[in-house]
Amino acid sequence: MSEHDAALTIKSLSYRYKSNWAGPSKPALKDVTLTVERGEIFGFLGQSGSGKTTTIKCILNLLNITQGTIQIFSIPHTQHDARARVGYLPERPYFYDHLRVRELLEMYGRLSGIPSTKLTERIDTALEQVSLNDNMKAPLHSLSKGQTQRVAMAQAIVSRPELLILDEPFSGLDPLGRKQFKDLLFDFKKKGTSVFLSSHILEDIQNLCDHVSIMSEGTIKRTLSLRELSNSSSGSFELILQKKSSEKYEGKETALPGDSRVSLVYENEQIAQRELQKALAHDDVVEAYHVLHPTLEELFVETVKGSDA
Amino acid sequence: MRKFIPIAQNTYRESLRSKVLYSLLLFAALLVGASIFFGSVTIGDQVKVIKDFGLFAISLFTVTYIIISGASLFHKEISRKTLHTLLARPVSRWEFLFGKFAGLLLTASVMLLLMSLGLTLLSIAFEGTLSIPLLMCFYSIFLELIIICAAVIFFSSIVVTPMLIGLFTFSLYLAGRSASLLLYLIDNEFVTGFGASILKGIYAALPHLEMLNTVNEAVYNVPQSATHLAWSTLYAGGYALVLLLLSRIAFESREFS
Repeated sequence: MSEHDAALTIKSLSYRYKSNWAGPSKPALKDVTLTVERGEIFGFLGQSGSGKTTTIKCILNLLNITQGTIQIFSIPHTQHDARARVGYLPERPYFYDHLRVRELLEMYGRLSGIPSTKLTERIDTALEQVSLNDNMKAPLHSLSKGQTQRVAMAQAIVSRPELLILDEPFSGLDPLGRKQFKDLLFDFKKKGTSVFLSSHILEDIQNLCDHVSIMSEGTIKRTLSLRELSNSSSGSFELILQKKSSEKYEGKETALPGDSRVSLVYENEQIAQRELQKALAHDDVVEAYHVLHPTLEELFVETVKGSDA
Repeated sequence: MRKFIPIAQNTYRESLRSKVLYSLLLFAALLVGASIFFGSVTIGDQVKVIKDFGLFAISLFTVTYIIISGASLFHKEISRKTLHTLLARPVSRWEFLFGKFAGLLLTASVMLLLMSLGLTLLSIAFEGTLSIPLLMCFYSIFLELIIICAAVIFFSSIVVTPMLIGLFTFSLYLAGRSASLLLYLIDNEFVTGFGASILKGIYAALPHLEMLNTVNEAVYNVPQSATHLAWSTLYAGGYALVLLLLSRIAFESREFS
């Protein structure tokens, strides 16, 4: 897919916090470059304070970028037409206490330019998608954290945006809510909506995303395809045994739940093969023998630690 | 440009559901009610005292409302980050700013309308006729409110702290109400030379709220001339527009982290 088809293109983005009386300006983002293709879920990972939310604020034109370009569907991010195609769910959302759920969505819908003839239908659909139909008349101040998160998702999707920018969308949700949100994101993806998902929860990112960028100290340290990750090898092999004999095995041994079950991990394939044959020759039951794939968590830790070093 | 309407409606709705508005309306009603008492114990025309006292209360409470409510208008949006979800939409900062101005002015106008209705009924009860100069005075107060609303928006766009915004707006209101004092100092040569030039500049920059103060005309039943009304309207509209345009310049470059 060419760059011009991308939902979001960030090139060499830099941002510096403005200087104050105390000293010079501080760099927050340095040479950030990434591309979110149409119809993909893109994970944006990083530790707290790594610059994820600052990047999102730059995309939304809430911060004036120091250097670089941001384009949303090939339109400069400062233009209204670009933001008309975006839905945004903020981190720790807070809404107007004096409004009711429906009133809030009406306001956001009108601000997004939804024609009044379609507004009611769009609001009903959004509320249904986040399972808030029964709370549409509830005052916002009376909602729980999880319900507020659902309102935040509803306001992001009410305009049926082509690009969803979600900052920690699973925060405050119970397991059922997380499952619903994940299903919703998969539905959006099927319909061609692009999703830019910033999250701390690596498991969610690994399950949902097509591509991932790992950010640390204001720069993108690594961008990878999760399909490639699942097909790649870590160079390690795992042998899972149910031990019946008193035979000793080489390898990094970890006890597993169950009767005498152990996991043995080998860095060397020859040794792993030899130990497998040994187990087969004795009374020990070989439950599994496979190549280990690297997890996103391992990659994330390796990337972040590498940048700290 | 129509996007300012939902923002104005939200501001208006927030005011209607807040306690500040009703508290001030109650105080204003009490003060207008007190004017009947003061009128009855004052030597002279009772209705004059009622009008004078009532108009003072209306002006004071509407301006106080604008300062109290307006000073925290932007601060709440910024500190609670509700502004982020607004500006993440295809809404310009100018539309946000103008929406806040329109919502605040609408609330103050409704407040003015309610209090004016009360004072008009009181005046009819005592005078037996509808006083046109009184209605003209309400209009002048409305023009004053336009300027004060624009001023609070202007200070909100350049200052962060609500207390400072309120203080600056109130200072501008007081200075605008007594701007002619500067001319007095110059005309009577208390200040001369370069100092006088500076004072003249300050006088020109301050809002001439005295021009919009037509309480005496209302009390003594002297109608304002059409020319005065037209100039007052143009002046208030022009002054507010300049303040809003300056606010726009300041707000366009502001960052929201």
